[in-house]
Amino acid sequence: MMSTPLIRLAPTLASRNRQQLLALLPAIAIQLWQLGPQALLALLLATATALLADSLGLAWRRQAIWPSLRQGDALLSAVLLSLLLPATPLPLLCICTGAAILLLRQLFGGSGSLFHPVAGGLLLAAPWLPASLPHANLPLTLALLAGGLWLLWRGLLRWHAPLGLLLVVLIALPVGSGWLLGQSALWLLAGWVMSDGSSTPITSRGRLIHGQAAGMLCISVVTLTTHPDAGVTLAACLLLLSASAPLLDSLTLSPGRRT
Amino acid sequence: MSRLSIPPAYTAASQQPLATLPLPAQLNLWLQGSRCCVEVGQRVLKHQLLAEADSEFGVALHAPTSGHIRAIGPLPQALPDAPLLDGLQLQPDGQDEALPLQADTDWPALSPLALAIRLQDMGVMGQHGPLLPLAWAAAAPPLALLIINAVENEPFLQADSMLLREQAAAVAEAMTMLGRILQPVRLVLAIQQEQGAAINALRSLAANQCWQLEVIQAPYPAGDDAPLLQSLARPEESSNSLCLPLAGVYAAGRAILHGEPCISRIVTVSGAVGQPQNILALLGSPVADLLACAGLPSQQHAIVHGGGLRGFALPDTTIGIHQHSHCLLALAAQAELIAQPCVRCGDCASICPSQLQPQELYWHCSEQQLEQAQHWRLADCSQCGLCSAVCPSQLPLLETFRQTSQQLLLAEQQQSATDAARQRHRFRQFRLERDKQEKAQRLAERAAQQAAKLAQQAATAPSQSTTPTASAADKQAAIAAAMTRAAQRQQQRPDAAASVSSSERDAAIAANRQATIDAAMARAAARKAAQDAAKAAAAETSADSSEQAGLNQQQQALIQAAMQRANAQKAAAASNSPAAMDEDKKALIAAAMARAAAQKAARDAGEQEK
Repeated sequence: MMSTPLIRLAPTLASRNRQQLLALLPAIAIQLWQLGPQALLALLLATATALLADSLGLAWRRQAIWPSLRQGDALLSAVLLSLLLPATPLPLLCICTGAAILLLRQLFGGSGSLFHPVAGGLLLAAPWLPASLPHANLPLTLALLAGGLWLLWRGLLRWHAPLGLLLVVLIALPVGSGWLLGQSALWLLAGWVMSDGSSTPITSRGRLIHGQAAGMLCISVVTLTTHPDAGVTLAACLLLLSASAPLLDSLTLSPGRRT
Repeated sequence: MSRLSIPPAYTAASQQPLATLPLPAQLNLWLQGSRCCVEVGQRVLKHQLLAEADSEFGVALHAPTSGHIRAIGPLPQALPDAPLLDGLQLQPDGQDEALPLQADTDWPALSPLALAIRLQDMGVMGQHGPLLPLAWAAAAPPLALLIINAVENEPFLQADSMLLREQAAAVAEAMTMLGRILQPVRLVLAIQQEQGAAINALRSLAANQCWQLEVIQAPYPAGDDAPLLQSLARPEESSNSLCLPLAGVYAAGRAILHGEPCISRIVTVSGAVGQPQNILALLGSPVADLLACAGLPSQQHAIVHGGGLRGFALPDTTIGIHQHSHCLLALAAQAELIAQPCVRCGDCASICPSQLQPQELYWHCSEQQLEQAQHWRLADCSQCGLCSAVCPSQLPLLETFRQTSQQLLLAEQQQSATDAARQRHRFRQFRLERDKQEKAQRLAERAAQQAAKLAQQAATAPSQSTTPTASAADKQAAIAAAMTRAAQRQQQRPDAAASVSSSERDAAIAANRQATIDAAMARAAARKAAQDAAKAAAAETSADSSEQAGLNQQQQALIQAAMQRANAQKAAAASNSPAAMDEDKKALIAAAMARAAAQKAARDAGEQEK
């Protein structure tokens, strides 16, 4: 079958990933300014590990390496992880990134993987993270918010799931969830992980439900238990809900009205 | 995701005037449901009939110019995957010697069916098959709304706009002609807001005409027939409205008003060519000639047949254009697309105008699960190509849907062919059984006559029962005579109709309807005969062997009448088209059923009498 190169009305996967990386640039700049060269080293190491792990996985699955690698999924995951785990020891960051890419991305079939590697990597690193409550990082949060709004304006942000999450957080303000809004991890996960199609249900309704469920689970866990890290909690909730995405799909998808 | 808009660069109207393609060195024509009536090596003149429609869905083909037939046989055609289909190669001799055109002066007297048949013979195509579907025209339902579809909102398409700008008066004439013959309550020319120049060309003509101009603003694919009907037809009109393509309507005007068969069309040539423009080209012109005319710099291009969203790649540039070749695109050869796995973004589902779930459909289609594909409404896919245009993974959604639909269509055709074969087999069995019965009857009859003769010889004096027998025989003779008359009348009627409409297909369609009426009449006659026989039997209680013979005579007369009728129908329906053959078969079946009913009635009468 001859594939016809016709006009395109929407960006390809590679260009989407490029623009998502662009939207992260302000956040990366803030982190470099706050943490100095150590952050740059972490970023580079994580990227190299991710690309290596992705190539290994592709070779193991006997897939063409370059066409898939140049889409930039692995690169985006590495950058996200280095932003989410700022003060972690470098070996831990590398191990988490590599394991997340290999186990959650390649094992579940590449770009269409049901489980997002960033959520998985964050969860893997959780036991070694400091147990103290991370303070709110306002500049980083604002930079992420700006990037997210830019993506929304470009029409590249699938906003249903993040909206569901934010709605729940706002409704739960009386319970004392306000401090969550200052956490940069929440915005990163909402804007760059929950907006990913492959780990959420495919219908808009399903995505709203997905986001709301994630929010409710996360707030319940954070307020009812002593575990303070919102990012790790939300990542765990997202992985759990990704597993239920096929169920939500089968509930919300229908062939539609016959004409 | 909201509905994406198509960049205006793709839809901007070309400022170039209409160009005419120089005579190509060879024409590769496609025989679409038609049978060749010329031979290889024969010289043909422009407008000469090359092939005539061989079914209700085919159209005739005429020579676009004078020349020699070089080959008849399978040729690659400008369709997805360039399948080999029946085609014809014509080598022009450059003289362009034409047959005189005969304009139809009494066209206002044409009936819709006669118009449809004439358009078929003139090679005027609509979306599928002849411009006016024959089955629709034969039923001749009252037409509430007739839409002439001039909407072009697929990227790159400009052929219809160019036609309107160049030939607005001729299009208006054609629409007036269609309005006069088809008598629609409302006749509408639908056009897109962006086709400004074409609208201006029409505005001046639209005053005091039987048609109105409807300017639509909805985005692609609102110009497809189904969405257009949905948006323009009022609820009470939606069931009996018709949508015709503009190019077909223009060709119909040329064919009926000027007697000129459809031999050329306007093609938009765009993309990476030196000068994107619209070119008037003869049907069958090779794609390479059209591209060269527009100035294609080199051969390193993907050649696409069709608009920017629905188009498909052509593997070869010697393929000839056909009546549906709106547009040719030369696109810069890109690095080979390697489709990534579906990332379940859902963009295809949100942009689909038919509210399908293309990602599910794609999964089932690529897994060859045809039933599941039908469950996910593959039949409702209008193949607009929007899903392919937005898929970030660049999956070949449109091509997969097109192929699977084709597979389903083939399966359906095979199923109907199987059904037809089964019916033929059943009819054969019925016929054999009936012949056997008739033979047995003939033998029995002969034996009875022999017995009667012997009895007459034995009895010196004639028996008393001669008078009633004679009266019964008279009645039988009268019935038989009436039936023969009816058969003769019927034999004459189609002839007269044929001489009026000068068309055999017309007669075949009429004969089919006549056959059902005749079958009903035969049944009524048989019932009446049986009642008469029963009355006669009640009056004459002494049942003789001669009475039995009379009953046999009656049966015989009925059978003869039915057979005459069947023959008459066969004579009327004997035409070349297989559609008529079907009609013929139906008539035979109807006659056989009438005969069987008559036999049964007679047998019942015999039993009653006993």
